[in-house]
Amino acid sequence: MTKRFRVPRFNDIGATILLLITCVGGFAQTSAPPNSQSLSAEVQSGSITGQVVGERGQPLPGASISIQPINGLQQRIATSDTSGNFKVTNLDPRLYRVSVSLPGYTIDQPSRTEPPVYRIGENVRFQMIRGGVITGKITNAAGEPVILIPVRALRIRNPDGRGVVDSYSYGAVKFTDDRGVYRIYGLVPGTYVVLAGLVSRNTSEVTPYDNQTPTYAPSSTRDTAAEVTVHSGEEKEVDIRYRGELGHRVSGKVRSETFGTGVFLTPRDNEMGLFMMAYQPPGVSVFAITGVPDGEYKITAFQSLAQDPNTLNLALSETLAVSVKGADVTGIELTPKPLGRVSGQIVMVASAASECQGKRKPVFNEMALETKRNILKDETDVIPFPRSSWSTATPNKSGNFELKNLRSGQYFFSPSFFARYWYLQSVTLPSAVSNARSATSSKTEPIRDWIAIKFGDRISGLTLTLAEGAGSVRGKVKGDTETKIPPDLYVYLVPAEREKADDIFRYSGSKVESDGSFALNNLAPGRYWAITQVAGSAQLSPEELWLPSSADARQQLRRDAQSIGKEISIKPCQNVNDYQVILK
Amino acid sequence: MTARFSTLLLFCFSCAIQAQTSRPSEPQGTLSGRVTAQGKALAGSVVLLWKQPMQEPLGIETLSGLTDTDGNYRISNVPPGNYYASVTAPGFFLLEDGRPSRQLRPVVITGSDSIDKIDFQLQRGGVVTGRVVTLDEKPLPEITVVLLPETAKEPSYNQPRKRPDSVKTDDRGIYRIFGITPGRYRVAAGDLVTAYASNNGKPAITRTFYPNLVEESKAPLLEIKTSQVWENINIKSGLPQSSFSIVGKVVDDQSGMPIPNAACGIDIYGNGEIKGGISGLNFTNARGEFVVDGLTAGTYRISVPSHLTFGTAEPPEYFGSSEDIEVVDHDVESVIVKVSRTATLSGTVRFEGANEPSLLAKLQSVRVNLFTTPGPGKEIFFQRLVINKDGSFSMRGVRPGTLGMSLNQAGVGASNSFRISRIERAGVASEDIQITAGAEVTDLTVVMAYVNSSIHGTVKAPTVEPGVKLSGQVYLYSEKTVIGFAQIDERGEFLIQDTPSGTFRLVADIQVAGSKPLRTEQFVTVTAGATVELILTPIRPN
Repeated sequence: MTKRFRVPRFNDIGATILLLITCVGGFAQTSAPPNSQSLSAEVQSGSITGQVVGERGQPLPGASISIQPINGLQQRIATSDTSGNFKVTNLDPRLYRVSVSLPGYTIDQPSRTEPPVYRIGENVRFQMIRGGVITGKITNAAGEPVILIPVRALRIRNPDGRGVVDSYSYGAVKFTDDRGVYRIYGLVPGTYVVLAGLVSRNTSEVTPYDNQTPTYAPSSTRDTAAEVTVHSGEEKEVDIRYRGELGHRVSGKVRSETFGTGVFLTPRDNEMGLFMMAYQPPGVSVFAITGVPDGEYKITAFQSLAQDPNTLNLALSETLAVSVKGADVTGIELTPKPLGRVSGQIVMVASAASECQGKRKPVFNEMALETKRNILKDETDVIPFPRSSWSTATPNKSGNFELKNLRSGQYFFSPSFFARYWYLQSVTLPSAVSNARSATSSKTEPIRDWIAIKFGDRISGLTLTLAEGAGSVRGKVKGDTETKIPPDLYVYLVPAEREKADDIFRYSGSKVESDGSFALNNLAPGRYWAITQVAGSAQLSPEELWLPSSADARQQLRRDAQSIGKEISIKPCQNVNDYQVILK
Repeated sequence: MTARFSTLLLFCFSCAIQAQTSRPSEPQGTLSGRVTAQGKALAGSVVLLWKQPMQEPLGIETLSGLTDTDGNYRISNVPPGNYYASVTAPGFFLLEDGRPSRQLRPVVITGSDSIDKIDFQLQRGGVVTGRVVTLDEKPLPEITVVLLPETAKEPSYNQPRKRPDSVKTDDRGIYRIFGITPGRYRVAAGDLVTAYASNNGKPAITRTFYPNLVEESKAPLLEIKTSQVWENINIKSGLPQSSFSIVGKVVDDQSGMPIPNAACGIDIYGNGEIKGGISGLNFTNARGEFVVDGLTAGTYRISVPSHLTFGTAEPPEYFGSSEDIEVVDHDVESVIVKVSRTATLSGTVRFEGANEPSLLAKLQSVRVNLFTTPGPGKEIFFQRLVINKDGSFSMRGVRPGTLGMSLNQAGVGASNSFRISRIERAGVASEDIQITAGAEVTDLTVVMAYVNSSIHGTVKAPTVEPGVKLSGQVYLYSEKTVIGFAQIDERGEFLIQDTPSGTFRLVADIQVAGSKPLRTEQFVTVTAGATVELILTPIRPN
């Protein structure tokens, strides 16, 4: 998979927020005109089929499969039959994300990512493993059971020991029974911390634990929490002596006249990806998050302005810093503001090269235009939302699109499309927009850097040009001797032609699989140097590798690649197979 | 009070749960007592004060107190008003006068009262635990298990998450229901409305009673006593039901044109009445077509828009519903949902001969609801109406029917002093304003009144021994209409708030513990903004 196609997934918070949003559900008409008759020659509907299997390839019946358009709320569901097979029919020709769930089972994933994107007509195979189980007993200082308290397991590390910020949410949560016993199952293998308490304040319920801080196993605060590692199918016992210590109250006002609002309080360092939340129904302007332990936090309010079947329309407040030190914090005011939007079009340029004749063209309704936000080195404003998929757009039949829900930050854009002989040639903005962001102009300017977007911005005229003639490179990375393939190894291409040095779309990478294989697709024809890079270990940050926006970064990459890289030439529509890269 | 002040007040009351707020001008009461379980102090339970009438405040606005290791609690800074006191202790149930009770205790705070000895006696509930398995003994995970009392009818489909009498099995098929009040129960696995599970992609098993019966009347009753644990109540169930899809199209009733991007809800019917619904996940495509998956055999209707529509910026332009759709053993295709245009209403609010700007500002803290009643058997349309600060209002997306309006309190401590006197159309008052499909009604006037008197009473029953608990209700009548109501608390205090001025008939039904209710009646004259003090002395009839 080429690097530009993956976006992080914050599934749990996504589900939580989606729940909030569907609670204020509704109905609206889009400005997009209904499909004209000219499309009737194309396929109007189709199916996605697949199979769910276990670790040994045995069919898994009864699994629940969910299919959602990449940028819509419509949900189609299916259940795997006795052979593990499923089929969802009557799907419009769009792009879909397909996910699976089965109680007690999980998908083994090093870190959570968005489910891959599928078209109609495709077949999906899910391999599931037995999840881990964490179970135990919560007792108070007197040794009595603590009843109906939420218990959560938060994954902090992969099985290979690398840290993950898995869940920005409450994590997997179960409540204790009358004996104080809880059981959390279907856990992804890895290392967890377990905590009791942390009551959600999004309901009108009152519980005995509302004002108390969570206790981490065995009877600790977050800093000294014990860690527990579970493997597939393994069951671990974790008991907690619950301390029932009173926490503090973080409260204030949020502008929430017509819409429900979620208020999120997240530890500033976000090490464990934990947040506390309060939900305000429409018309209620006071909020309070209770049972907050001392610490440094950030707080944000989040609102859905309207629900539309194609996209969500969100508002977000500025993120404020909150310091809780031995006292309640009052008087916080949060004002959700509309987020930025970018509209534009996709232009397609066919190739005259004879090698490219008769190849498949990209189709607008099977394209996803995704956004990536630049995470700056000193950024503290890391919050888990909006979900990147809420800022994903599909062009209409004329190639026009609108990206919504962009909070302040630096962005870049990448289209995914199903046409292997096409590539992203350029991204341009009207120069007036890119300079002063005001009057429109017929002049356009190529974009080579992240684009700054602020709250409420409306940027139009973004043009992405897709060109025919892309090639691909597939092959293997070989070590000198018995060198093991590092887990985060990438094969990276750097343009060899001097006049292409500033063409940021000619810099691309692909993750190397554990068997050393890699595939780089949708490459502009030309000459490249191939090098290997371990993500995070290079002098350049992952963001700088993804988008070498500074001339310095590009120069450095070209200098390194020229000295150690191997040159490879890709002709229009050429597939280079069995290419070998030596790992040095 | 100005609008700003009342918002502030609301905010402060919510702070009062933990932080001490000093508000010397406003007297505040204190409530205290002790919570025991089977005679022993129960630490860590919560005593709550709910504002009467039974409106559920937000969790953060609920006045509450946690019991300490001796079982004692104390709730201070309680603003004057009528409340119910209740206790929450997971796994336990409330025992009142020796009987299991969900009864809430009326408490009247009239000033800086200090009410003590509001004690609660709890009992440890019973437990039922076991496994749910298939006929070949495979565990069935994440299946709902419910406890059905012998006499009560089916619990409502809209169950709160933590209701103790409904749980789900874990990955091993094991369930455990606890905190059960004594009684005779049947235990069943599977939802009554199987479409909830199947539409969520989860196995939808036919409701099966312990041990393996489909017919409720044949299922054995378990006699559950306080603290008793019934183990190995294993249920053997058949295979999950198959589920099917409904495929169709939404079209404009008038033009026949397809409606794209319409939110489609699923109404679930059983025995001719609505059992529940699912919404938020289905929308028509660009050609007006929809597909709804995961429906087990049953009767459904597809409705537009789906039911969860409050608080949206874009009100629905269309509404409508399909005929009954019977799902038997295959997908249902070609369903047509005909929809009509919704209406738009606008107008102004004015007050009966009062200083309007300040009242309009105050009205901002009150929730105004607009509803239309389409006729017997049809669903009532109900939505919050935003009144602007100048008194104007407008609402789109209104469904046809007879127009009505109602008021809600905004929260603890908020004023309930507003009344809707009448609704006028084109200057003519009517109780039968008809809203038709697609109508644009612009000439509405809502006439409101502002009332702020109150009646505080004390029951002094000469024949009652000191310390005996009192209870009862007080009603205030204008002609034959009840315009005020209050509960009498255990000390004999009552407070009717937000009454209009005038002369009214006050009827009190007083219950002295252990004897027949006594009734007293008298006329009371109330002046605007004042509190009338009363002493009721019921005389036992011979």
